[in-house]
Amino acid sequence: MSIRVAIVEDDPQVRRMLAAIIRRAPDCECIGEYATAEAALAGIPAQAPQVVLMDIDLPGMSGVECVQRLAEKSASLQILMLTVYKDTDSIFNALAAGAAGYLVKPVRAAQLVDAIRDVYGGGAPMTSGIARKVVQMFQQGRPSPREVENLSPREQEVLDLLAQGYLYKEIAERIGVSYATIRTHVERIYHKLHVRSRAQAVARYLGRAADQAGR
Amino acid sequence: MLATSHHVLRFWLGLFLAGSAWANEVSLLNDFSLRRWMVEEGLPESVITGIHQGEDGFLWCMTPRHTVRFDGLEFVAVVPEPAVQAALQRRLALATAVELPAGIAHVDVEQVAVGADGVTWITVKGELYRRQAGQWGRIEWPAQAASATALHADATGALWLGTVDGVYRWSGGRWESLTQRDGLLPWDVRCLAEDREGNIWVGTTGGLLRLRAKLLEVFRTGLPTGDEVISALLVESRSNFWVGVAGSGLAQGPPESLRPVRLAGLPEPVTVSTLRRTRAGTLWIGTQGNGLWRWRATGPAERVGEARGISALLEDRSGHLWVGTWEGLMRLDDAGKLVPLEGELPAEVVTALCEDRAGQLWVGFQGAGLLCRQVDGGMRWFRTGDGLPADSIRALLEDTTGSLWVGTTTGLGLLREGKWHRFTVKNGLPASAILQIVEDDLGFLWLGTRRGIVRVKKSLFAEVAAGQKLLLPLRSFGVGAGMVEEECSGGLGALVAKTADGRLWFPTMHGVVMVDPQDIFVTPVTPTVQIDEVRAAGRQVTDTRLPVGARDVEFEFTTPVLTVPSRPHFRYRLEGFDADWSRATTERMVRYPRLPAGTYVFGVMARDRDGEWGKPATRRVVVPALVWETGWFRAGGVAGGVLLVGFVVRAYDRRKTARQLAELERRHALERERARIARDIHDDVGAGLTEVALLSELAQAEPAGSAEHLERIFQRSRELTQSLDEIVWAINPRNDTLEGFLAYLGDFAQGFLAAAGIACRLDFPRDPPVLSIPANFRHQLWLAVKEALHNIVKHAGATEVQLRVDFLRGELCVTIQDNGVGFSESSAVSASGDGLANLELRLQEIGGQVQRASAPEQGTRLRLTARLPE
Repeated sequence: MSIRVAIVEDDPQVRRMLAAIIRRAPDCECIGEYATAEAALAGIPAQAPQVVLMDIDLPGMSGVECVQRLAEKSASLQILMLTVYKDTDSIFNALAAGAAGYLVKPVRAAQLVDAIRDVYGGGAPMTSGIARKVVQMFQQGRPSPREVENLSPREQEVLDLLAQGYLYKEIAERIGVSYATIRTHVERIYHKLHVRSRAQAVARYLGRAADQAGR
Repeated sequence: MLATSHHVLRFWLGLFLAGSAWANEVSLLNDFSLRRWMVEEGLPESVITGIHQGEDGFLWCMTPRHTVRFDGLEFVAVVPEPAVQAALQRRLALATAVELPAGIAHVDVEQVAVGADGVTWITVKGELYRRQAGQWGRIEWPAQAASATALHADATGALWLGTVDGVYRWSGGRWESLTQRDGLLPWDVRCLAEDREGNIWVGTTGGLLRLRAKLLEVFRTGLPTGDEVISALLVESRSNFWVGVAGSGLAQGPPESLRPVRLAGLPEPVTVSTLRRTRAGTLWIGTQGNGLWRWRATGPAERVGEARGISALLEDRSGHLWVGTWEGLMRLDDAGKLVPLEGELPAEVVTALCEDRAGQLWVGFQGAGLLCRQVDGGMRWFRTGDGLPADSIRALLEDTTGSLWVGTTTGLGLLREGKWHRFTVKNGLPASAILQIVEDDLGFLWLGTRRGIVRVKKSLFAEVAAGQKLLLPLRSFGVGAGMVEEECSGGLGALVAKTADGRLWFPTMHGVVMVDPQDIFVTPVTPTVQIDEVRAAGRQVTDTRLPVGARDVEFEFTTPVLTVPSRPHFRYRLEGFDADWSRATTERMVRYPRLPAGTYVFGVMARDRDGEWGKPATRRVVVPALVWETGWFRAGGVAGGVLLVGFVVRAYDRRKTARQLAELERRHALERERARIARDIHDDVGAGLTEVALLSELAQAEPAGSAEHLERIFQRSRELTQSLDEIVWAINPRNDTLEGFLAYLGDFAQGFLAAAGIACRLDFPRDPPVLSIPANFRHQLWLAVKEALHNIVKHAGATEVQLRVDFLRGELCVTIQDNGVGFSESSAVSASGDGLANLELRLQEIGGQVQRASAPEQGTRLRLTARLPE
């Protein structure tokens, strides 16, 4: 069973390269190539891939927004961001919007396929930088009335350690749980982040609408 | 209303009525003009109980509750000096030493009057006695007069008597009176007084009266017209006058008893415009519209010539008759025909003709100017360009000195010794048009104008003509002096006449007016001036020192001129402000709206009608200076101002320089940064790409080792990406913040160390302050950390690195702790070689420092500190 992958990349050369890499992987197949976010939004829901490779820098609608929309449409869709620079802000936004992970171009073929598999498996990479931003995000926002959306103490602990630079393995050793447990924690952190970010986005949207109506 | 002044009639009437019940004394108004002041004119009360003229000329009036001072115009309540107060209340009493007529005791004497000539008058129980040269005589009491309430002997020797029903005057053996008969309300006389101008003042219960002897006398013709506009006047002798009345005809006779006369042949009614008696005995009559007529007593009048309008007639020394007509100048030729003059003359109305002592004929035209026809027939014209006031001539006179006076519609012209001078309203003449000119025997020039008859001393013209003075001091006589209407006849040909007794006869709009130049009174008192009020900012001030801040000062002054109060001239000067005495003016108030601070003396003087200026009255005023006006304050202010300006300029300059320096600094910093980036790109990226190109070529050239080359290309590309990433990050302004820096630092450290198998622990502040870090600072610090980590990877042999960032009081502190081998401090120059030196350099560039602590087997701790620039 091969992993169905779609590519959203505006540079045609890079797009061809990525497609070539995916086609060469035995367990992946490239089911679609899109040059713009709009085209992707139009075509991806119909094609229903499992993993999407999305360039952060897209003409027209940004990659981050595209992620947001796609994530709304399909919760199970895993989106992998591709970025040239390690622009933490954009990456964070994309992750908060619903992306599962990110890669920095130029990327080794093996690295790319590994990441696809990883993401397909539900993996959620989190670097210390991202972890810091997540911490800040949760700190800045008000605690949600729904307890479920706030970080649990264990999740907070994991997040802190991530922010300090500990790897998943190291955290698992430290608090005495399995690697898989840590991964689950991170997933849940991400989930809550997505919710929170969506809520914030809605609030922002509503706020903006209210502002406009009010003035 | 005025009784006709026929002296003959009066005499007979007086005799006839002498004993009758209703004795009609002659009215005083025949010879006196009356002026009355009551409460409406400013008197505080109507009842006048005392009148006195002070030394200064002002007239003081006493009423039951007030004492007021009169200057001829206004009544002002002023407290008089005791001498004046006493004089107001004094009643003459007869000296006990004086002998009284038989049968009269001193106690019986009621009123006493003493004349200037020493004549004494007394009233006793309805009888009047006069003592002259030691002899008492009885004077007949005026008929119907009540008992005397006041008595006064005037300067002319006449006696004034006041009763409850009027005023009586005894002069030359007869009485004149002013009573109910004259239409005035009944009043009774309380006091009598005389001023130095000869006016008689009567204090009554109905106000103040002034009786002034008429200086002019009006004579009427008895022709049946409403008003008597005298259109022509010919005086053949003192008892033979010919008078033409406009729209009516002729009257003739002595002026006191003029009678209308009809000349056979002359149309009726007719307006006679000019009359002349030639030496041959013919009376020539010029009319307006009916032509020229000739009359001899032997027959009817005959019309001569065709000209309809005759405006002037003159018989020259050779017996030729010159006729001024509406169409120009004509003359009577030997055949007795009216012929025009040969030569180019304007066909314009001739208004005046005059022959001078040289035999030249002067012809005045209505608009063409003045023509002089010389004896040889030559013509010479004079117009405004030559100095005449106007080209419209009305009167001509050659005076006794040979100067020619020309009356025009815009003033008086004078030709003296070949030079023209002019005098207009600007010089004080009351009216523009001068209609008649005559000189009396006393050195005065008399002018007939529409605003009365004017008298000017001939000698005073010279100064005005020379420009030394502006105003002509003159006297004018109008209604107040006795004229019925003040306007002299402007009819062409209406001439003024002088009789052998020196009297002058003017044709006016209402009768013939006679002036006896001898009668004109000359004021002996040099006019004094009184400064009545000084006002500052509208309020009266009595101190010399004016209130602070008041800069608007007014002076009000007056002079007592009781006969013609509106005419006196004043001139003033504010010493300390005005450079010179002002021009003569008739205003009685002067205003200085903005006097600067200082001490001033205001002086004002008045002059009488004949040009003599009196002594000035003075008043000293001090305008106090406001603080900011005093000299030293001003000087200080100026100095302060200069200093202030200096400071401001300096401060501005300094700030500008500082700003310029800062700007330059900034630009330098920017340029350095750009240079650095350019260098980095050149060095890192440029070198890297060159290598990639080379490797690609190699790979193509050696297919065998191409895998290795390609791997190397891939690596290099990644590194280049990394470098570019760093460069972009460095210059991207979004990464100016502390937060961004920390994130980047953390990411790099983790990645870098992880790749080397070293664990990386980050300890960053949770909530870093929002600060912006300048690019260079960021860059150097970043490079320093990178270098430190490189060293650790290369030499430290550590398994874990702790990266910690603190921010405290504006200082950034980066601590890098590894758990490697460390080294001994003593051997400072360790395997790290130049590494530390490099670090130090980098930190120094951003104003920071490096501290290193280490011990063998205990790892190394690096501390980089730098102060964030503002």
